[in-house]
Amino acid sequence: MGSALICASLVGLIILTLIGQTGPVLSGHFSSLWGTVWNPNTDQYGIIPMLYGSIIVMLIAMAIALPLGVLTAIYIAETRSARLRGIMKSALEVLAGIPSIVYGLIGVAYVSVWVAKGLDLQTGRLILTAGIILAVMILPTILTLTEDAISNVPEIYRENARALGLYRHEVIKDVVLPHAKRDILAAALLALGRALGETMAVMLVIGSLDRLPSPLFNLLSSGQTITSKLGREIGESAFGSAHFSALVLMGLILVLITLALTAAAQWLIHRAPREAAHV
Amino acid sequence: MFSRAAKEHVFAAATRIALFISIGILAFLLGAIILRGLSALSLDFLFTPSRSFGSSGGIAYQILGSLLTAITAGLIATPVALGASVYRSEYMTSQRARRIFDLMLYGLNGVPSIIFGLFGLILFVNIIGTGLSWFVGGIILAVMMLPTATLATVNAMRGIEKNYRENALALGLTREQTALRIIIPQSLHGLVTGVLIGLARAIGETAPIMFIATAFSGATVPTSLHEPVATLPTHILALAQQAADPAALKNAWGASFTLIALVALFSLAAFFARARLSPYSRR
Amino acid sequence: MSTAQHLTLVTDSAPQEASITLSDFGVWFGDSCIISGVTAQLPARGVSVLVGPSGAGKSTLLRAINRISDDTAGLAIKGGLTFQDEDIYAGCCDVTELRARIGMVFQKPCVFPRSIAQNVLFGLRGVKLSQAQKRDIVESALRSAALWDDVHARLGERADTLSLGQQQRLCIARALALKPDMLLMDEPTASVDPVSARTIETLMRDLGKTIPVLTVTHNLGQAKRVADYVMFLCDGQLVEAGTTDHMFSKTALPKTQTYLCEEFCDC
Repeated sequence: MGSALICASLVGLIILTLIGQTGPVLSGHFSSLWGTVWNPNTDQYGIIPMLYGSIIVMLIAMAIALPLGVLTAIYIAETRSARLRGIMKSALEVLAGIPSIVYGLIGVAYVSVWVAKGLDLQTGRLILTAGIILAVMILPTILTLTEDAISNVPEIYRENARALGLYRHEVIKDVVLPHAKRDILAAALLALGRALGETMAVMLVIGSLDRLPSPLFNLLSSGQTITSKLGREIGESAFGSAHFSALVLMGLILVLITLALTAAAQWLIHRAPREAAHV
Repeated sequence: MFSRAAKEHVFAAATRIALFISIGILAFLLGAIILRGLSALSLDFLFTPSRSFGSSGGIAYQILGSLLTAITAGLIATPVALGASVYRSEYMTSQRARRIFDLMLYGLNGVPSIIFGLFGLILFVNIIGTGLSWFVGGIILAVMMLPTATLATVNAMRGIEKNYRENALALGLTREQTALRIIIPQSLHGLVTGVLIGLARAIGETAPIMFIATAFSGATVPTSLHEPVATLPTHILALAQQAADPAALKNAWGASFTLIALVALFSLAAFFARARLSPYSRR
Repeated sequence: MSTAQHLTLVTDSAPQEASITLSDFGVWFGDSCIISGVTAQLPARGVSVLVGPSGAGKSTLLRAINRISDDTAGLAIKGGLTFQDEDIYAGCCDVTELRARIGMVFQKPCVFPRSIAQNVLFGLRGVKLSQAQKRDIVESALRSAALWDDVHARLGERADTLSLGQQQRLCIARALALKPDMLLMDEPTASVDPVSARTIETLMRDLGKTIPVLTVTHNLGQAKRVADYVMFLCDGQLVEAGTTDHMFSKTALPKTQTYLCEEFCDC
């Protein structure tokens, strides 16, 4: 079987990607990379605004989707209604299949319009909008995985805690969540990775402004993430130029971060099994 | 401080509110797509080519392009996934090697879609010099699908009773023969399901093929391997960027609905494949 | 009584009179009737035992007392069940608070993934306790559960390092830490080794001196050893109830005699 070749190539594909990225002309404009100005015309390739944008947008998305998802999952998992669970699961599966560009379309057609109207601004293409759209995108993932994690906590723990006279919220806080902690964390890491790597939806609503917002935490300004930058400018930059290689460098950083997240999630899931279950 | 009973009420209310918001969001998403999409659809729309950069006309070539790249991707990915999983199941004996293999696949799975596009651009379009090519698009999509397809097949193989293998070897079959006659047929359901699920994802991707396989205007039916095609996701992207124009927007919704319908088609196919191809022992 | 009041009564004399009164009590799950028409009064002290063949509804009856099965779909209750002269199925009853007053030990010991001391204190909520108070409670509960000698040197260790018999006693200590007015035990010795079983039986008799203990068992020998009062259920009905001497003697109903002496019941 030429399968050995195939396996090697699977690994090689990833490595090759990274090597391919060493097209970057790190030698030429290295110093400007760590600045905050991005202007190919003047040979300035400060990637900080994009890095910042990616992280901020990811944080907004997680800040919205994680609490919302976990609380909803708690409700669904603890409810006695099998029907609700069934409906939610089916709906979530459907939503998981919706391509990211469609989320982008919704962002453009609805969310950015609402944000602009609601906050009385000229445009809705803001960092905040991108964060909101991303939150909506990762919500199904967080919901499904967290609900699974909570449902997998053996009923006997809940029963014993209830018999001691604990209220539902105490049972959840002190028994259920600690047990499900690892799986919920893995789900969060997965969602994080998706949020960082998402291109289309972010690209359409973030406003493409290559500058750090001022003040730094102004979510109501336009911005740029690594992915949106790549999406917009790869097509416009000449292969082999410094411009191109700077873009590739950003891509490389992104891949390394996502690979690290994947590895962390995998490690988390495959750690030694938790306390021995006599139950 | 708040009494315990009060805290209980607050918490219960919080979860209920969260449920309400989540349901609201999900319902809105589904509703908007269905309603806006349906209103833009017509037979005309589906089967005529686009004009004026998409704000009028239909999406005939886009549908064609999407299907073409997707099917190509499927055809490339299937043998690779099969071969890799057979190798992992039957020839890789060390647990450590298997773990590394799996890790590589998970890693590949987590790579952002635009990086695949970048990779394709660097390697194929420029270094190898194919230029814009629908075929390269298929290759890249196949690479994206590989983890999904391979892991599904591996899982199916894991489920095969140890007995089967041992009995086959005891009867004198070589490893290749065991693989061919027993393992592969028993894990086909995993392969087919995995490929179909991967296709459902791949057909909706914009970023990987955006600058290596697609051209926005002028692309019709390709006559060689080195031509670009039009696809649904990139079409939607272009239309979304003209959001100020209501006609463009309308067509964007129509294209979105069609795209989602295709995704659903593949997903349903995967569902049925799993049901019908599962070996009796697993049903 | 709230948990806080419990704690201040640590050195008080006997807890208040407590008894369970059942009047025509029945439990349905959906369409299937598990128990019906049970009328009885449990004594306020001592160990009462529910016996009967499998499926007779013993556990269901036990679990109806602290309403732990409330969340099961399709549950319907008929008749009255009063505890300490309150109808516990009345709408105004706070179930959570009820369960703090009625302790329960399950058939399979289930310790939480925490230290031994933390397990004991797990049910104590809503009160601020000093370290000294916590230590006292842990010690008194573990002593009452005949576990102090085994574990006093390693209270900080994880509870799942204990043997099953010890874990069961830890569960008992955990329930006792709340100073309950009644203790329910659902086949507490079924999952433990015979030596631990005997220890727990002795425990039951000791506990019965201060609070009513109601236990379910399949082990008729155990019933004879620990019980002051026996209730014989068969097929969801209460066949007979009385003191141990009466139930195990020739003065009981023929059906009762058949079961208790020959372990045969034709229901």
